Amino acid sequence: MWDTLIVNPMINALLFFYDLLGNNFILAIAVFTLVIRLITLPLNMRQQRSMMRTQEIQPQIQAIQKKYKDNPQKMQEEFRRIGYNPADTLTGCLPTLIQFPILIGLYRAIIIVLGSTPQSLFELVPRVYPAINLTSLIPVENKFLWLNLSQPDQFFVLPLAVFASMFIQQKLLAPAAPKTQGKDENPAAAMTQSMQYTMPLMFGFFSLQFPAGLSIYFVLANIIGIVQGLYMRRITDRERAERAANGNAAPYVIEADDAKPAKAIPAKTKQSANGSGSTKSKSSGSQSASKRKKRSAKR
Amino acid sequence: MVAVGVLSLSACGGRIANTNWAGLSTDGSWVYLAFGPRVLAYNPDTQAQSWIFPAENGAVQFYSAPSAEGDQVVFGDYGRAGGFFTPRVTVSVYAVENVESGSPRELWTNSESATDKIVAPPLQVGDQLFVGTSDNHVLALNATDGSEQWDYETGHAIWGQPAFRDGRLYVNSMDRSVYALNATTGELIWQTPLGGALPSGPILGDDLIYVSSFDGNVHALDMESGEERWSAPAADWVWGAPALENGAIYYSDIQGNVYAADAETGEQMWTQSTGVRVQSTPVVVGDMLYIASQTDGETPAGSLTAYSLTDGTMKWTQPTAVPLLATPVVVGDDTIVVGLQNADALLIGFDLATGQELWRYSLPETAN
Repeated sequence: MWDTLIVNPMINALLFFYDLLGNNFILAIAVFTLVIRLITLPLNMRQQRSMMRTQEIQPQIQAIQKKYKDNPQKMQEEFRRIGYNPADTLTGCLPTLIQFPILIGLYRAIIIVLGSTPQSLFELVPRVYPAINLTSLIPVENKFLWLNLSQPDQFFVLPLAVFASMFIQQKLLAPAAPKTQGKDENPAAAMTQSMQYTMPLMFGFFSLQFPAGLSIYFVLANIIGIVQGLYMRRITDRERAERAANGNAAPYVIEADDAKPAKAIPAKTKQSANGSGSTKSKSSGSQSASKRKKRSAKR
Repeated sequence: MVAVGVLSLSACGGRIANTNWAGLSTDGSWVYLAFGPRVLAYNPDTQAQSWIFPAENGAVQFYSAPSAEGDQVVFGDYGRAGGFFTPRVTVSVYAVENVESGSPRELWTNSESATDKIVAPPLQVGDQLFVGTSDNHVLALNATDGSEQWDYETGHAIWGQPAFRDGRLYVNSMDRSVYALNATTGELIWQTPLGGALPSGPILGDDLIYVSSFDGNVHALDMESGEERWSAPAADWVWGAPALENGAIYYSDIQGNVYAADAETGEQMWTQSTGVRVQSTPVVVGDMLYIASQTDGETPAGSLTAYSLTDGTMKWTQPTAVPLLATPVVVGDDTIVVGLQNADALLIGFDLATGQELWRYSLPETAN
């Protein structure tokens, strides 16, 4: 089932591009990676946007969490007021989850197509669709520059490229937490920051053992991720600038003293990228509730 | 979550599958098997293993059929992976002493000449040893000490055993070309490109070379010039080398169609459909043709089938629990041996005439 739905279509797509691009496997991987990235682009963008937005309002989230740690209901209300829905953190994972089958399937597909033993070729044959003329494609060219694509890069160029490209991508995807916050104040940001180093290091190490063809896939996927990250940065920066131009950039501040009402979130704050509702009505609703509370206290 | 992903990838196996079916060969009396972490010699007369190499399983895998010549057995491995910081794969060619029992003495090892796995069975001719490698090279080594004499680079991997005659070495490459090389110097004499990859070795006739190809043909080339004389068609890829006997060639495509054709003209004599997948080389003994095959299904199995050489009618068939992918070998006067990829039985000997199972061999517990 897994092979029929995921791996085999990917194998055939790789072979199709290999045929189309003059029997150049590197180009085939590049175009295929690009296609996969384009297909998952809406999901990726939504995830990145949600991540950036959450990161942006992280100080407010922290403050609310700290202040209303004993009043979950109130905490939820405040979250809603700033346009943050904790459930979105989970739905934000969804695109990543959806991408895993694609990533693992692609990994398998590259390994099968690059298989360089008679048995691996024998096992490839029944996976190939009749529309693909395998005879004209075999043997798949596995040499590129100094690389044997089915073996690790013995000159360490690709592991370094995997590390560097992934590091840059991680940097772009995870904006730095505000400098005023320490690790204890914002553990999520601390974790994100530590991931910026551990993930590239892990993949760099794995690439020391991965076949060069796979390492090339990772490098290409990271480069596309970097471009995508830069684009997303531009969009979020523009949105932030627009908010500032509209006078809506003032940060939401939670007062330390519960007696003082929380400063209202600007009425026209833009809707968050993760799809939470408009804050305008919620904000005024909350203000009305506060006034009602004060009136009731006077009585 | 990302860590889970990384672990999943690692679980998938960071490396490209580096396994193959068993490599099987014979010197007429003993059977030599390369499969996984070991190479062994089996004596069908005593029905006992003669020797096993290495004595303890290591990190190296062997799948290319060993070449036994006199007191020396030569084989190559699929490469030893380097460490994290030494990723270069080390591929070795070994020569061991063909002893009666126990562990064979290692005569020499060459770990310098090849850089990718050795799929093709080596060929020993006098004091020369010819090895085709997956890094596209044909190597000529000194058979007595393993030192390199020359190497010639083709366009892709070499999977088939080279053939030698009159000072010339004939090599099929997956780059779709047949090469004739000067066996002493390694100089190219001629090269003939064909329409498909060439996964098996060339078969030498009197003045023709027969070559199976993925272009769905068996090609006959002039041995002197390399010029193509004729090609005999098949319905699909022809993987195994053709068998040459009494002026006819016998071959099979991977769909399981078996063909007999005139060796001089390529004219088809008969064809027979077996309904199973075949990639091994047919074996001819007397008036019978033996074909090892794979049957598809949820649990792939295999079979060894005997056909009449005159018209292709089936004489007997013996099912096996696992696919038969290695070409069978004939030992003594009455036994055909198949190699299996199965811990329960690595070798099974069948009676040539009746197909009755004569013996089976599995590894002793200590070797597993």
